[in-house]
Amino acid sequence: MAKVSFNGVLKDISIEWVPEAKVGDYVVAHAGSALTLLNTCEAEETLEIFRQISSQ
Amino acid sequence: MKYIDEYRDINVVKALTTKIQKVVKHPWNIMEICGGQTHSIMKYNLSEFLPEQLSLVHGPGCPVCVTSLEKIDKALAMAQMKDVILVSFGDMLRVPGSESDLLREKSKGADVRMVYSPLDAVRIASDNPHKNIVFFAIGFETTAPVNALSVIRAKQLRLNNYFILSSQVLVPPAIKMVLELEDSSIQGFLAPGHVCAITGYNEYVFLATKFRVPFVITGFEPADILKGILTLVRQLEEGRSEVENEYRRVVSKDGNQHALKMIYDVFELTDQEWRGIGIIPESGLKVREEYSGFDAEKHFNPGTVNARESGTCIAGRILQGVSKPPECKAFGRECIPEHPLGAPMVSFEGACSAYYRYKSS
Repeated sequence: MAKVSFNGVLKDISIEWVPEAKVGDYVVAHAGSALTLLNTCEAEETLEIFRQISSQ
Repeated sequence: MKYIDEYRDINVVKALTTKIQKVVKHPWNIMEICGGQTHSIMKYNLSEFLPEQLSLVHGPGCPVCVTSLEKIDKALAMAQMKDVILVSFGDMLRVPGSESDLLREKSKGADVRMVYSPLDAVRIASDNPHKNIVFFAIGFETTAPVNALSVIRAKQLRLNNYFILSSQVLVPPAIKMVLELEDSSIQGFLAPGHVCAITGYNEYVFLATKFRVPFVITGFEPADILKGILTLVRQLEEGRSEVENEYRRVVSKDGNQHALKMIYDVFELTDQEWRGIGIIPESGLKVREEYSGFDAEKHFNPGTVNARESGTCIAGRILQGVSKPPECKAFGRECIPEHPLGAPMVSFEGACSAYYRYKSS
């Protein structure tokens, strides 16, 4: 189990299927368990695509 | 919150809608399968931003809505049994069965409790050794792993008072059903991001090839959904039918293999009845024989129940994407969230509830 902060609210969440999770990582949590780690590189890349679309 | 607010940026939303308007040349019907996405589309009023040629059709991806009346009646029967604590997610408590709903049974004295996670239900079982705990386990592939984990935890804790009533469903067989409907008009799909986080998207590649329809995997924030629509419309206009992933921060091709393994360690495929739709072959998950000691239907044997639907509700047509909520005579009249006739008016993810909440005014 891990402590996950939902915008400041702490909850105990199972990380059974994301054993690689480290303190400070982002996870997608659902019904008390983490489905997967959030890939921050991909998240930033998508945001960069959005920035490019917005500036066109 | 970081990695959420950025995907709600109004300037990005405006830029994406302008881009979609430039790309669309023909009329297209696209379906979002997932009820969470339906909710976002209504909440952010995204259909108003889109060109007239695009029609968004809402799919059957609301687990509360598609849970069969027979299972709900079984849950009601179990809630009335002596020494049973019936546990489920909040929305499930208000869904109408043939004669009653779980909240009404609670008001009459049954011990019915709401939890955030199936793991909380295991805790209730361990805290109440003299009671039998029935967890009404609903959900798609997103919730199935944690339902499975609850059974494994109960086994590790040697609990003999934890049972699950399984009503779990799978997305790909439902897509196949929608595509095989005679009056289906769906030409492309937004695929459900959080289901694919678990399952990956190999099965969707198979569906795209077999039925020659495009899929784009998307998330749940307004910019995610619009980027998904843009990519899908590009495929439609160019005559492609591929699977593209626009939720790469969460979804990988093979999904989460640890979670998938746990689902199939505890559950196996079964023909499943979907409320308002009927039986879809191999579209559900039931408890495997090895774990039958945790199977509520085997332990309590509630028998066959005589399930009866309300006459006016058209939930089935709404769940198949054939009709929209305002086409129902009862919508907003006899049927409102406080006293729903059908499940899509109950759940946060149901199309009727989303229309009522955000479109009624």
